[in-house]
Amino acid sequence: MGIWWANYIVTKEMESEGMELTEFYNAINVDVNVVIGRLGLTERHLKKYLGKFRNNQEFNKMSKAVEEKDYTNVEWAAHTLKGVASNLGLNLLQGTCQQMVDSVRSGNTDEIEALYKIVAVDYEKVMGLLAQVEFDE
Amino acid sequence: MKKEKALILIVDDQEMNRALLSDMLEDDYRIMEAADGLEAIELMEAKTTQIACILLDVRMPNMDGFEVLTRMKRGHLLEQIPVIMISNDDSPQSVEKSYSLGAADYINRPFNNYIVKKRVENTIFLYQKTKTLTELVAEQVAEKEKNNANMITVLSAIVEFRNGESGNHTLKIRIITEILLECIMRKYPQYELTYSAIADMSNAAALHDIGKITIPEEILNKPGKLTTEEFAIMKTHSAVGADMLDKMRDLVEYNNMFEYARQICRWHHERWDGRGYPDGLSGAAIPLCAQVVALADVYDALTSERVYKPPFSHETALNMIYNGECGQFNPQLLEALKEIGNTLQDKIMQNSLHQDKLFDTQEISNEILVKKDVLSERTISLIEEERTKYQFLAALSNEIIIDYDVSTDIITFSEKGFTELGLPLSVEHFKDNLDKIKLISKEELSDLFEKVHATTPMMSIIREQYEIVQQNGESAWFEVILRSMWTRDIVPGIKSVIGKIMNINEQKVEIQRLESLVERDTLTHLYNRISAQRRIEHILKAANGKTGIYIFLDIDNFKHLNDKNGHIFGDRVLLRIAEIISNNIRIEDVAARIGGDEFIIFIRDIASEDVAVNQIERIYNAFENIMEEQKITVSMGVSIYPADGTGFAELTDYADKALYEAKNRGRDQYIFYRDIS
Repeated sequence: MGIWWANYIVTKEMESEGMELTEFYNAINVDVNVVIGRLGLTERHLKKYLGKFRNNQEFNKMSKAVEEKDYTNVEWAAHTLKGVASNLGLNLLQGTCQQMVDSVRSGNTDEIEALYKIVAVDYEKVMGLLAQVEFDE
Repeated sequence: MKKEKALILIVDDQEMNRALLSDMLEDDYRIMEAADGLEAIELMEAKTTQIACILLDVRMPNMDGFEVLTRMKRGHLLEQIPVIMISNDDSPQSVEKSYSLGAADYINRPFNNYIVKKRVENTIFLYQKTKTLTELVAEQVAEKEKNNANMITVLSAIVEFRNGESGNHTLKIRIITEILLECIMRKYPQYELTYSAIADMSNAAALHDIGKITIPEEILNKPGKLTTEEFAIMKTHSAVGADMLDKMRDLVEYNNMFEYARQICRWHHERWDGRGYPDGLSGAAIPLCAQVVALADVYDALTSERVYKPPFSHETALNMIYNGECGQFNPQLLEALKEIGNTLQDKIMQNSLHQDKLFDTQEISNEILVKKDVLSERTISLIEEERTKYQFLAALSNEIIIDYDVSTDIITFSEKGFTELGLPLSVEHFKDNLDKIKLISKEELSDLFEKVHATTPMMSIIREQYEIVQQNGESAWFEVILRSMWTRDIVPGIKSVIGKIMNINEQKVEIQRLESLVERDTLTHLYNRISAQRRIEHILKAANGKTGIYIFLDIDNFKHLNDKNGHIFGDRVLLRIAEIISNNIRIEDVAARIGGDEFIIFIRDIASEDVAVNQIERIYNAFENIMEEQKITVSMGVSIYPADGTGFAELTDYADKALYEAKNRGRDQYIFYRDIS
């Protein structure tokens, strides 16, 4: 018959240039296998959640709240974001969000602005990396 | 048949979290989701009996997790559905609040598949066990009541058969009695009625006319009015019935029901004003059960057909009773009758159709569970709560907690014991496995055991200190504090021992340092007078006649030296003397500075007095070249133990005299006491 399909497959592979999950997690210093092991699910599941995470509104809510100095909502957004981040193994985001929550709770609101900048940086990094991941839509 | 998967409700405002948990659990359970507290409550109320477990977040809009727990408790849903908190917030306050509001468990984030599954599984299992238990008890109760009821039905049927009465008189008396008693229980709590008592009284009511067996049939079934004599005979049925039951005391299990039956039999014809029979009791002297049956009997007699009368209507009967036409009754009972009056007929109809559901077995079984030896659900959950708090706080504390239970012979240590000291987390059959504890020697351990056994309920705490090698290889001082817990028996025994192990190394080391400070001269670090005396006396006590040398030494012309060269020079001299002394004695000997420029040296366990002389010569020569800048000399007075004396005071005195002589003879020499005595 001839291997007419071989070309087809090779071409297909060359086409997809998206990042794989392992790369994504390596870029944020997390062992993807640990995350998958803990969740007891498959890579497909994790990808699904990460895909959903891209659409989360928490960071926007946090930004708005920081601007309006609405510290209750800052705490809420940070708390929620932290929870999601921890479940998905996005450790760097989890840490800064926890600090944010602690700051508001201890009444140390001057730190908030500074912490927010750090959260923003971490968040941008994660989102930036996520944008490069190949998601099956 | 495939068993249906249990239903779990997941409550969290974040879709991601719900999705995560759902994915983890969907293989083994059916999943329902809610995005906030309000939704959750609605779902719960709609599907109460189907939900096996709820996973509940704390932070949600509209209604948070705490509010949900509170609502559930109020609606008695917490008793049926276990709640596991899934929150981001694991601060101790949040955890404690959840538990105190009735949560069954707490799962932290990030979620771990295995843990989540296991917790859900275990929690559901536990709750089902409790439910099954309650159901079992209810079943048993129902069985028992049914058996009771059956037996009595048989008896009553016999009586009724002879009576020629129809219309299920006994059954109706039981029903009316029960309904009346339930109403009294609600209205008049001072009677302290319980569901169990009501069941017993109602069953007993069926036996109220058992005495009629002895009444001749012609009188029993006479259609017309009874003569005085006939009536007298009829009246005996109450006393006779009571006697019959009384005689049964040795034959049957004479429980509450029988006693009620006896009372009812004898006194169900007494009246409130004392004009009843056979004893003419009045007022509260008539037991409540008899009063109620009396009223029920009258009501039923009025509303049923009898050989001597047709049935009256419900209203007529009530009126006749209220008007006192059938004798006087307890006004409270009449109030109760008034209250249920309208519904009485219906209830009789209902209940007589469902004879086996005469009593509220659910309530009775609840009461049984509340009695002394069996714990109520509430108590069990309180105990669970305390245990959880205790474990949680123990884990937080920095100490190693010990818990030993005598009856199970199991000892447990908190995790810190493992990480710091390599202790096992638990040891079974502890008494036989003491060697599993490798921290202290077997003797020390047995000794500790004995001390624990010697405690009493009043003096229950012991403290011991041990030097223990830790996991990191370093040894440190630890204090073990133990307290024995006692049973409440007449002769109390130890039922458990609790305690902790604390690292006291810092304090110990500090104390040792302070002790040595107290014992020593600050400048030279030789012993001071007091501790020198103590030590020497100690040595003398154990000396057993072995020769010892006591030297009293002082620096010649020290004051002059000090004045001429200054105190700093003086201090240097003192230090130098101390150094020379230390270099020329052994550890077991004692060297002290007892003031100014005076020193004592005690050398123990010398072979013989000749050796002693050599020693003195040697020591004296050691002071040959004290300081380079200047010639400094010392004088020494020497007394020998035991040759010169055996006590500290003696030896001191003699050495002192010898020193004095040395000074007199021009200093820079040593004198033996025996040479001048």
